[in-house]
Amino acid sequence: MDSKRRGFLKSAAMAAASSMVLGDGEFSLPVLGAADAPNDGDDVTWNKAPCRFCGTGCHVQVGVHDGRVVAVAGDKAAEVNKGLLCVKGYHVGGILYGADRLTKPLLRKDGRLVEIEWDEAIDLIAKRIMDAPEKFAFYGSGQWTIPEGYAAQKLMKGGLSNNHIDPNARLCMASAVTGFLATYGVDEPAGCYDDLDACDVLITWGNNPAEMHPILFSRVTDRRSRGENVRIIDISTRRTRTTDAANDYLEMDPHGDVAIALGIMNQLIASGTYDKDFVEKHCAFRALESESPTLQGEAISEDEFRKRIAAYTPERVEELSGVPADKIRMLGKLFGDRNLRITSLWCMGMNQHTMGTAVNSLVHGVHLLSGHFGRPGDAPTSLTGQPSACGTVREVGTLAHALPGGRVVANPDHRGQCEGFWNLPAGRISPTPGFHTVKMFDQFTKSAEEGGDIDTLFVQVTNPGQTLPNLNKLFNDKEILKDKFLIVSEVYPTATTQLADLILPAALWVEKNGIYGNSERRTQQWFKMVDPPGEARDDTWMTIAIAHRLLELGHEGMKDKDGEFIFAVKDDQGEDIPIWEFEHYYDTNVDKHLFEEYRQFTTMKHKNLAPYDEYVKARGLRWPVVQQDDGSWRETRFRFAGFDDPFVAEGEEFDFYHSSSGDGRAQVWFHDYQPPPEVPDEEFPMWLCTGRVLEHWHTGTMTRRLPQLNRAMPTAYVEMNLQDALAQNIRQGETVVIESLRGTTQLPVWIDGRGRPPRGTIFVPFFDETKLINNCTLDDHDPFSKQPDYKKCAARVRKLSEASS
Amino acid sequence: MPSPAADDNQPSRKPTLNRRDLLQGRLWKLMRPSERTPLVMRYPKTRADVDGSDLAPSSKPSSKTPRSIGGIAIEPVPPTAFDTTAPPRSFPVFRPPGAVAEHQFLAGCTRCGDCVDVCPHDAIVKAPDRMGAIAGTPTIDADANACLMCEDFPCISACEPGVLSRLLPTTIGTARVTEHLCLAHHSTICTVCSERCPTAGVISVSDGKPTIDEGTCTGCGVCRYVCPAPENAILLMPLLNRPSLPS
Amino acid sequence: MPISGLVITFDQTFDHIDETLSRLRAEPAIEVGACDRQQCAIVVDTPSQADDKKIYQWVQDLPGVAGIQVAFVGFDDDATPDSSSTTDSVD
Repeated sequence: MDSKRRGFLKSAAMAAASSMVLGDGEFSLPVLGAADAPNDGDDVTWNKAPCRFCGTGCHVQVGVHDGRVVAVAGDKAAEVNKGLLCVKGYHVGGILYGADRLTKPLLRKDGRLVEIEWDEAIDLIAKRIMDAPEKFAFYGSGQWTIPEGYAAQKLMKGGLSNNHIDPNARLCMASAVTGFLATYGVDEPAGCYDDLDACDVLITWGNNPAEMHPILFSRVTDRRSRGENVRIIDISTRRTRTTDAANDYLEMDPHGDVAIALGIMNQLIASGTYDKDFVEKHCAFRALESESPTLQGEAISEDEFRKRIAAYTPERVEELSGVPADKIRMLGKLFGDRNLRITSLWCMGMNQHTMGTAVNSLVHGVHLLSGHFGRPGDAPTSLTGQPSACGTVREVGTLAHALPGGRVVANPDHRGQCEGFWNLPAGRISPTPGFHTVKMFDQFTKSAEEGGDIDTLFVQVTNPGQTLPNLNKLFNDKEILKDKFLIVSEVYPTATTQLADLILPAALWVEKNGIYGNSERRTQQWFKMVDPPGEARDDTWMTIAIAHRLLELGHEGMKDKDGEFIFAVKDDQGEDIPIWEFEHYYDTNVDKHLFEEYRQFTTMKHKNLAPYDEYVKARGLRWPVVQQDDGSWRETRFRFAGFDDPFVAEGEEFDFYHSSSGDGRAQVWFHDYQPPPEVPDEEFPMWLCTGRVLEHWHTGTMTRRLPQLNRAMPTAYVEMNLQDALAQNIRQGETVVIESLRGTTQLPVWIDGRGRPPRGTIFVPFFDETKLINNCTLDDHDPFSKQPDYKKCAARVRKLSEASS
Repeated sequence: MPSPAADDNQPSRKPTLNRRDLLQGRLWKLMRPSERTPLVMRYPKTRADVDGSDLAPSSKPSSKTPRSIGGIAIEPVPPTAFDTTAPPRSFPVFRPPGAVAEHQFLAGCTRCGDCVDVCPHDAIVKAPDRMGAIAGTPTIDADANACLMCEDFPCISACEPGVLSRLLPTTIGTARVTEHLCLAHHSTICTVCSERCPTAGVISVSDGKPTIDEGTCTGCGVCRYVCPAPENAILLMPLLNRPSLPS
Repeated sequence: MPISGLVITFDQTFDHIDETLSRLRAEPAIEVGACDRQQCAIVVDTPSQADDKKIYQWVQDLPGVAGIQVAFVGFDDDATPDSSSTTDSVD
């Protein structure tokens, strides 16, 4: 080798090594500095965005060239994922470019979909609403951006005086909300992802973060490869990829989690190892009223709590949960050790549960009773499955009973405050909660004669035709009802658009501005980077355009007290910017206007948000975000803890400042174990559990359009135990029929695959629109959260030959 | 019930290289995962690129029954286009199972296409004209369709000139995991290759990371076909120095 | 003839980092670059891969060295040809 080349190599080697010693350069925002971005040449512009998929809230760097997304990489500057992504995240850019993107509004005429103009579509919707505003319902999701959800909320509750707005999050984390409300008096986790860096023990309660929140799970397993000791305890009804990494696997029967949590509290009390100091200063005890129970319940004494919990001995819990008594004692001992830091994680296993509110409250109770709360690494944390289930649904309150900022329609003060912020005449907001999801679709799929009093339904950013439980009853029945009108805003044809009367093509992800709020209270902003295809348009614009058409048609609700349009945006001269005309929609940043208006709502529950521009500069900020004396904005990692939460008074160790008992205390709940509503019997002998897989997100409408992900996971399947399969003479890969009382679907069998269910249990993922397992699932739901139980019902497996005979 | 991962809770050892690693330039083994070059997913730059390549996603998720091996479905979705430039003049190719040594194969193969016609999975295709001397001979491209190693090898049965023979090993190559491209080596979870491998025991997963036993790997390419990494992390190599048949 | 850019991480409890640094500077195959109390950049230039490995192990065994990270690896043009290049390739 010539010396010149050698010299060059040496200087390159030195430069590379030195840059690692001297550290990375500063990031320039919002467009990433050239040094931080992957080197793809000068013609690629890089910008930041949160990933479109799950509730983890990873940030990606998006490379744009000539109006197209051409590259995606993990964002090193993001605290959530530190440059890493999961398999879905690397492919997120491809979701924009599936060949069958919807690009024109489509109206069903005589059974056929025909292209129409946007003006006609908006006019049609507005006229249907004008005809019967009280029969209109709006169904959204935790994938609504914050401004999208806020605009929908304002149109419905502030404009139409109609509370029939609910999100798919009702099917997803409603029980987490009621669990937080019952325990702390205010929603959302106290801890954050930093707990995962500090815990000694991680307990996954019916949760499979290895597949569903892989970046969070690797945050823990990476600590092991750095030589740290983290014990992972997996409590589950089947073995999963999480089990593979766990030190302990506790296999429970469905509904066993309720008994296990009770058993741990029993052990803490029996052995006297509960945190007496913490409980005395910061906790109160509570249980359901014996007659007409409410979410608030009634106070009980500590003695009463001790008396009731005494029944849940390890042996009794073993009977109820199937987990051996000595394992319950082991858990009791772990929680009794204050030197350990214990983090609990859960997601759908505890939420999609007919005792969802109860089991959420009980796991919070285990942490409170044992004092494993509020120190980094000591946290009960629920995860969300959607990118803005927290930011939009829970904080903006796009639920049938809620108003923005933790308010509820039933409370006259709350209604008054919202009417004030929105400058509406008093009494505009209706005090009666609207229909929750299951009820909304029940009303929509029932004829008017039978009392079905929803006749027009607008669905944005979700796919109920695949995700509702008991689909035959709650969705498919719509088909026969001619007077019902289903409007669907979508990016691709889906199971829902199949029954739609009007399909609106929507902009997706970085084709529009957006703000999401993730599982750890982190609010994340991004800018539009590319144009949507064809005539696809923003969901917020659709809502505002409908509102403006209603205004033109003379709907009084579209005006505020002073006669101004409720979504009016003024320019510097005080003139209206016509944002209801799409060509003018981006004349201003509508997201910013809506966000600044929404911010006013957030301080009541101490969920303070910073101004929009602060989020432009950051990879998200965790609320409460409070301005400091020097003018900077500080986020909060640990709520209610004196060392970090700005709303806990100086010198206080903890303060649950929204305590439902009004004295700064959190509630330790007692709930009696109740059996599941449907259990296997002779005719339907198997437990059926449903869920997600690593490669596909929810109903697969986006990820199934990505060839690499579809190759990696091409079809839904049914996981079976080998012994069960042998007993029925079922071979690996054979197509079988899954049947429940409510419906059937056909699936190939996967034995000893990724998940390994115990005997008598089967598992089916729901991402595959060609194999709808929700034909079989149960629409029974939790009494407080109204969230259905997708995790357990009775089913049977039959060979194709038997089923067809 | 302790899992294998539980044993990893010791302080991490300093990385070391053995002689073989050094010879093969595996210095990246010394890097900790955090120091690896981050993965970047790149997409076609224009609509024309997409439409012109096989990467164009199918218009709708397929609803037909997926093909399967060992009960695990392998849906035929369009192949991944990694490189649109012309192939080099000289390169190794994958032959169907049971192929004789390359010089005998080229001499004996009549380019009749019978093996192509009988392949039930469309895995065997004729080499295109631009491939010069081998044009028309049967090859397998796992990026398009992997060989599923049928139990009865209809391709061998169909070969009249006998350049595919039951007397020879059916192994067509071998696969290796390129660790710096593999998602499991980038602090995330991916187990697709081991789940889909049709030959039991070839791909083992330890501490979440896959290893391919080159001794028993048949080179069928299913792992490459299903690998979802931004850049395919499976390196497939055709079987070199295939045995001759006595003529 | 490999050239590698390495980053040494020092054990923070070790008090004699200066001595280790002077031993590094005394080794002719090593060039010492940017340093602080925690890390030090070096370039290793050796005639063969075997020597490179020897140097690597020697650095690793120096007192106070907690770890080595590879920042850069440069290979010689006339490296030993890979044995696998004799293949079934066709012309």
